[in-house]
Amino acid sequence: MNGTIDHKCPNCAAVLKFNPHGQNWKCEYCKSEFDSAQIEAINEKSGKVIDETTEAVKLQKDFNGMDIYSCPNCGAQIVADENTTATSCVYCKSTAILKNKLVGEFNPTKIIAFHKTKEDAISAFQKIRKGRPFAPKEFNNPKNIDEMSGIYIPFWIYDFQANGNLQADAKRVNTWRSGDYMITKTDVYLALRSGHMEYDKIPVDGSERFSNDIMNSIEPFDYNELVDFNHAYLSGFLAEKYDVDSDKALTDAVERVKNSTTDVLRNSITGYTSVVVTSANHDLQLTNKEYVLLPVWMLNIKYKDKIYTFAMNGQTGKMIGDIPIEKKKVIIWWICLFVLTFLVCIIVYLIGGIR
Amino acid sequence: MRKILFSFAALLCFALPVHALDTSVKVYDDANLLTDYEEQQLSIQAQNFVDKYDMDLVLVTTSYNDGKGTKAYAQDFYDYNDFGVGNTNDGILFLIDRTYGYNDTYMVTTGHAILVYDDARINYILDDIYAVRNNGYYTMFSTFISSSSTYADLGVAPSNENMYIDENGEYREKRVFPLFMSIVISIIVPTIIVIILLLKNKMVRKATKATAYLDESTISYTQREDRFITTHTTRTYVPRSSSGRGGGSHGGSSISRGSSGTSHGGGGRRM
Repeated sequence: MNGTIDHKCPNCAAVLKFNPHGQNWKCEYCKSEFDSAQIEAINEKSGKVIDETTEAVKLQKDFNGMDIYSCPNCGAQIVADENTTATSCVYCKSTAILKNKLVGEFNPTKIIAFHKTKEDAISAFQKIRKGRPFAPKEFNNPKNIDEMSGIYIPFWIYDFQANGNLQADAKRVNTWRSGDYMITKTDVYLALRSGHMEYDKIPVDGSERFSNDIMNSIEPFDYNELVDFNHAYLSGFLAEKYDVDSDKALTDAVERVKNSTTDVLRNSITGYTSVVVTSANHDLQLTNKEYVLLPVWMLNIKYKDKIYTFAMNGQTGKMIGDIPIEKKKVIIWWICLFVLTFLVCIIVYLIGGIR
Repeated sequence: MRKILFSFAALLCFALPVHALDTSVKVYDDANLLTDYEEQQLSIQAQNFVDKYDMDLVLVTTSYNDGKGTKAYAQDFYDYNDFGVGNTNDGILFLIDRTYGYNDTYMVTTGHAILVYDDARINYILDDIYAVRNNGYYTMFSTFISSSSTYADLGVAPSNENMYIDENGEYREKRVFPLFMSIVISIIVPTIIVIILLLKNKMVRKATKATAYLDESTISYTQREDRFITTHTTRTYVPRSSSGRGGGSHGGSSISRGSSGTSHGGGGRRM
């Protein structure tokens, strides 16, 4: 089945798209709405029909790394790279889910659906200058949005059981006066800690195309809304399959777990003036891993011929990205603050605060 | 009518300081502790002091302090009789009060003299007098003059370096605008604020911790031990009387206000 699938409205056969605000599917023509249970039923009932009627034959494979499909809706060619699992036809805009890429190991187990719409992402971008006086004035103009896409990004999520040992030199320093002498007493301890702890669902971006730092920065996702994967969630959005395999992605998660485990053990050493960790080792056990799709709005902003990448957590709405800095504003701010602080010093002096 | 009232008021003004004395006289032996000759000698020494240091010097004995107490009597004697040199009535007074049957002594400083005689110097002067308390009143007074001269030669006490006497005779702190300090603060504060604001534009950061995914309820310790290794103690010599301007009012002169409202320094002792 080298085909694309789409979800059709049982009432009018138009394409059903996922509606993030209602968390349901809405037919853009007859306005019918369906919840996830109904979609499940439609899928099962018409699963065979979809295969037959919406079969879009994969015309060419691995042509310069691109796959070419024919749109199930209008027959136009759809070009998608090898990692794309959901896209849309450039002619008729209908969603094409490249089902053949979502089978076997590439079939995600769970998904968090989009909660934020494109409009939400635009308005979040418009507010991004708030509290950031050094951002150029024109930067957050929506017209600078060069490209905006709602993408289900492949993530690996890992559960760990961690055992850690830690040794630290702990010092307690007491100082007091005795006559004309200051007495300093230093008590030295060797602090030993061993502990066990568990971590749930540490996400690691499984796509080479998206920077790990950006994906780290839009964390956390609310896993309470993690549901079983269903193709229907992809309609109306783009989706990718993983190209960073689990073993490779794991190293990032392991590093984070080690650091946090050390932190927990280190922070249990209390009541000292200084604590220096001399050795720490870990024994981690991966207890579960899952391949999931998480919703992200990706925005590319073109400002002064440079592209800035922003991302918004499609579930929580947290928007991140590095904003350019206008040097002139920084200098003006610094000078104004200098003058202001100096005036405050003078006022404090006149009132009588500084001796 | 108004004219009459005015002249009456003017008369009152002149009449008020009933006890006003001839301030060129520096020795008032109301308790009769000195002989005429001693009085003469002390007058000469006092006058020399006044001429040399541009500060008044008054010596008083009394057998009754009007129930005011030694200190208030000494201050009032100086104030109400208009002693002192210049606008701030610079000068010192030494009283021996026999009211209680003891030699209750008190030294009053006024105006510029407050700066010269800080609490420490007043104590040294009283020590000097105490040392000769059995040698007669003349010696005590004469010691007062010579000891006071010693410090007058030294000028303003080091502890009063940052103080001055204002036009009303008040003891005040000299304040110099801390320019260097202000510039340093004015550079540091905006730099910190600007750095904080700059960091707000940098939102993309690599995650190095997984603390958000840690299930706190699963934390359990199999070892939690703090082994005592050693202890060591060091002693550093730090003298208690931290010199300099540490405590502000430490050192310097303690000020009290007499019934006339004038500020005085001073100190006394029963001898």
